[in-house]
Amino acid sequence: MRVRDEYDKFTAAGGQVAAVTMGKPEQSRKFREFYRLPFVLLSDPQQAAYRAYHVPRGNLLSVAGPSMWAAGAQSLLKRGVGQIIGDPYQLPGSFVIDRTGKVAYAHYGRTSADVPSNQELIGVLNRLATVAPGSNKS
Amino acid sequence: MTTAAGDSRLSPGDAAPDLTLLGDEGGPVRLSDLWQQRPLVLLFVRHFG
Repeated sequence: MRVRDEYDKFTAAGGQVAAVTMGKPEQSRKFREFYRLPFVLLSDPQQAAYRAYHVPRGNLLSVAGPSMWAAGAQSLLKRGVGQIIGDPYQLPGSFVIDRTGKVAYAHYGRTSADVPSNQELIGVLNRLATVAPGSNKS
Repeated sequence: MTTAAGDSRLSPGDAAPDLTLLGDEGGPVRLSDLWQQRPLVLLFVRHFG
């Protein structure tokens, strides 16, 4: 299940989502509109944020192995939306950052398909909501 | 070059790097402006254009 399909659960848990891509803003906007993504896409063509967050590049096996052909990637390619833009060796990374700017959760993908489940991310948001300042107003 | 594990990867409790990136409408978006509003799930993805 992709983030897009359960985005309401992310917002219900008090969070928001932003995705960093290597595309240019115009490419990202087209991508967001085509897939009707409900969250913002941030362009990082120089990969400055990837470096700052230490999201690594992989090797040929980790990006072109069977995991590459996960349903999502396959359907994208079948629909002819286009090619990978940016660095094909880039691996994914997923983070949750709290309102004070601290990392609450970090996951570094070992392959191009290694991303945490929505449930895992939403669980972190729920945990943050219970400790957030001002959340104990009941 | 940057594939080695343990090279300063972020862990829970670390300060998240604050950067200004370009939003998909072309304007600057500062990460701290986002996370100060609501906890931020930040996903680094490969881009299929």
